[in-house]
Amino acid sequence: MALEDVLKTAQAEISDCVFTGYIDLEVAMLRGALPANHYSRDDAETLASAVMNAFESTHMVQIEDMFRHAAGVDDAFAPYFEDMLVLTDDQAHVFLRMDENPNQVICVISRDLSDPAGLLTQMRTIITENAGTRP
Amino acid sequence: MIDQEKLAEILSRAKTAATPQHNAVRKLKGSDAKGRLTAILTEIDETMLPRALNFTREDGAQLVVEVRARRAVRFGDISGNVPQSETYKRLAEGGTTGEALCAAMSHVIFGFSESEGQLNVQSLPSNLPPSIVDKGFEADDLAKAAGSPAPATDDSPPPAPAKTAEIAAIADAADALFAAADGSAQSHLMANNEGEVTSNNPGDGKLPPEALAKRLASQISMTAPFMDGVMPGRRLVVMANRSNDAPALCFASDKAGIAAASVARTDLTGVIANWSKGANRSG
Repeated sequence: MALEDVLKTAQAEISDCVFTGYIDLEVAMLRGALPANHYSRDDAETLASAVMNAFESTHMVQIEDMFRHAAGVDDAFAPYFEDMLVLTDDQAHVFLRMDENPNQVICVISRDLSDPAGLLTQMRTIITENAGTRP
Repeated sequence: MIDQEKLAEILSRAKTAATPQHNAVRKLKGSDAKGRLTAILTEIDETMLPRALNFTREDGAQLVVEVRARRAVRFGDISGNVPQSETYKRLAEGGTTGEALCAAMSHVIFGFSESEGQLNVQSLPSNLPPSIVDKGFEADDLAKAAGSPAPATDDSPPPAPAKTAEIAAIADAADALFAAADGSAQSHLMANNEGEVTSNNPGDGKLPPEALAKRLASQISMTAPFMDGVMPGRRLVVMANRSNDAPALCFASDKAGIAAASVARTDLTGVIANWSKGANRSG
């Protein structure tokens, strides 16, 4: 699947979308991003660093273990947390690990806060439609 | 067909415009040691995005402080006769964190500022790899460790630290999540920013509240560059597994405290909606 297709679809379909890109967690870099007027290069680099920390810091790995244990999930190698939604007063941030490669994370930022949970679902649908992966 | 020459010119202009002006060397105020120390700490306190602050003295000594989210994370380079730098290196290389490292870092900065003469600073792109998880130390912590007053960044007095007993009342975002999670979550808790649990509903008891709160407190600190730099203010973070029967982690935080909840996937939409209402109401 071309990640660029997911980004383009997201930018076209997500309401008030201000940023789309994908981050490679293996190198903690923003690998691709569509033109975004609202994010400078510094902001994008900070975003990549923070997403890396949010998904893969030592503390989050330990928290994942707690949840994995509580949920009775056996697979200690697959990431437990696959999706992340961050809400603030003015923006909704969605980060989704890709099924084919969990180290690739799609990022979408929207200023439409009317249905944040729906945004997460919408992004999964876009990825599914572009890749045929499970929602 | 695009004119290649014109395209190259446009790209060149865009590249030039997008290049941050990192290289300007600025003179810092401060005619005595205390003034120079305050100037250094003020630079740290005013640096939000990851930067390597390159301080230089007239005698050629150099101190590079890697800063992000108003916190000095580590020293990038120490050259010249800077007191206590060996102590700092020994502690840092030994993996020491907390007050001891803060004090050592503070003493290096203090020693650097004691030398007479003009101090200059240059803000360069940071070499901090994202894998660095140290949250670093605020200018205020460094100032206290050096036994000097905190740097003045504006005329307003610094906010008083929140007492644990007051946290539930003033933690708007955290309070909203705690209320939203009540009744729908498997377990939920509130904690202060040090990770000490202040209120706990253990639910099915599968998640250890103290261990979770401690790690969340550290996690929030580590994501400070993202949270505070790009998104100031209250926030709710939802981390989910895609299986329908696997609980998600929701945590809300602000300056006063943290609330966390283990939420069944089917309840996520309601919790998010209720948190949003609570956050809007309290804001």
